[in-house]
Amino acid sequence: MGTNWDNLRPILLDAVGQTLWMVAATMVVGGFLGLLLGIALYSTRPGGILANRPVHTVLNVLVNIVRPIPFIIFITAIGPVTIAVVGTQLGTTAATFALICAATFGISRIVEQNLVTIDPGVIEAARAMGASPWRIITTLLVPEALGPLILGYTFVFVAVVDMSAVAGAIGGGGLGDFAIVYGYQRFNWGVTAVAVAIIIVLVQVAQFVGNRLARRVLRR
Amino acid sequence: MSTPLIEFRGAGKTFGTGGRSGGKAVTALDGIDLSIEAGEIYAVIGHSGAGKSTLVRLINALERATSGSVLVDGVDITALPERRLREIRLGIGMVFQQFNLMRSRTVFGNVAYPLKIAGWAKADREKRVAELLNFVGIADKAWQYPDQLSGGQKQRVGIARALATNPKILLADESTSALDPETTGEVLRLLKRVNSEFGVTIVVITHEMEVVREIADRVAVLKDGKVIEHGPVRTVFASPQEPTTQRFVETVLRARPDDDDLSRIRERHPGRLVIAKISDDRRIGSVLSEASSRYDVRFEVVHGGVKELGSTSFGSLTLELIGADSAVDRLIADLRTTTDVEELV
Repeated sequence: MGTNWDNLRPILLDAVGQTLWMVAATMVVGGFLGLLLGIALYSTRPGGILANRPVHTVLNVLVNIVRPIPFIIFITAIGPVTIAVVGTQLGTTAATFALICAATFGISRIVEQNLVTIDPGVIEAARAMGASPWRIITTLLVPEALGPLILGYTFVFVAVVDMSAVAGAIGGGGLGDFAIVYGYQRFNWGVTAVAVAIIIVLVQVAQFVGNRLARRVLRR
Repeated sequence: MSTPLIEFRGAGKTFGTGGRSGGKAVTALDGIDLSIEAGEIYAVIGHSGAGKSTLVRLINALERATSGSVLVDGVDITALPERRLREIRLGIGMVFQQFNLMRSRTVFGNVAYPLKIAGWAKADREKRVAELLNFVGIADKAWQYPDQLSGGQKQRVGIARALATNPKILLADESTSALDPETTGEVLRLLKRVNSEFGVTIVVITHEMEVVREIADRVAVLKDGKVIEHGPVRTVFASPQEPTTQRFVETVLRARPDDDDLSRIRERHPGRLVIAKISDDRRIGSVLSEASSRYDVRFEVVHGGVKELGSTSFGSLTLELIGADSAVDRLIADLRTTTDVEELV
């Protein structure tokens, strides 16, 4: 069975573009929101620089509720919210919204875990110098944990590529959608293999860049 | 009478009364009364868990007293709002046992950090950091990262950082406990220079009496959250009152034989053993020089040690006295007219 690559090529390029867009938007917006939520989780914990038990408990429970939901279920469950925000439950933008929500909660834990590894003594030293909590957050926490944070975000990048493939389930487009519609459903293993190969390359490049950056920041 | 720079008035600190620990409160400090004068080096010594670290943190309110009050430069900081405390902390430097430098910043960046907090302009910061690094003797390491430095170098960075904003007070929390003896000496000499050249009042927290001997003017001994003894270092060394203090003093002098030493000494020296205290005004030489001619007693020095402290010396010698019992008794009696003598039985 001959595959008509002349017809498929533009569709494939579109799919690659959609995947890249979904992943990039998720990493930027979800990455930022996840960073804020992670810092909030870390700072409000007992003994933290903004220790606040009620706030910490609420955030903690919220993250614990959202995070374990499998993305295929999350993307449909969040439908009403998606409609309210994006206007539709279908398409790439709707899928991106769901991705950003899921990534925010996932990233917040990774951020929190990396911040916990900062030596409390360094934070105490900053307090002793008269630093405000806000200054500690902006000038100390992120720079001190930057290396592990970069590795954490690289890990998330791979997970987001994975989740973005599920977006096909709600007509979200992207490589996952492409592989299922033109490969799996038409029994065309060649097409599936090409989609898989592109995803592998994408993940490899991301991991390579992440490792290089982290090594540079950690100076080892 | 001048007002002290730092004053504890019945200050106490109890942890865990926030409710959630279910009333299992731990009292770290209890009724502390201390006055630290401007320009002195004040040491607080105690074993781990005695409350030293908490005590020093009351001075810059990293911990707040739960009873009594703490006055810094005449201001009661016990109940000040956090914002006001941050201003006060700019005038109090702190040095830590584990240095607590930021790994993500160079030596320069670490020392410049408190200046940024204090709002110094960039040009002023650069000038000040260069000055400080010169003072602590690591100007050549400005662009290295803490990972690349030895312990002693890291503590120099810590001291430079603590001095950046020209504080009146420097708190040194076990600042030499992570260092080897030689480096400890260097860091202590540096602290002494900070005190003499800039007039910075230094509060040293330590568990090593050797540190107290080397740099402190006055010392307070902390035990189970209470000050059990305090005074000029010379006085405390010369006549420690409490058993805990005596043991601390002994760690420096190492003059008194312990039980193991004693049993080894006895094997070789069957005569009567006495310990005589030595200091500049307690001279035992005149009596001992006449031991054989006047008392018909032979003596042997079997143990002991004498240390310098400021401009005087302290210590004790353990002597074996050999002769007729009555003769030895006479010699001991005469020794007692000049110094404290203890017979080991």
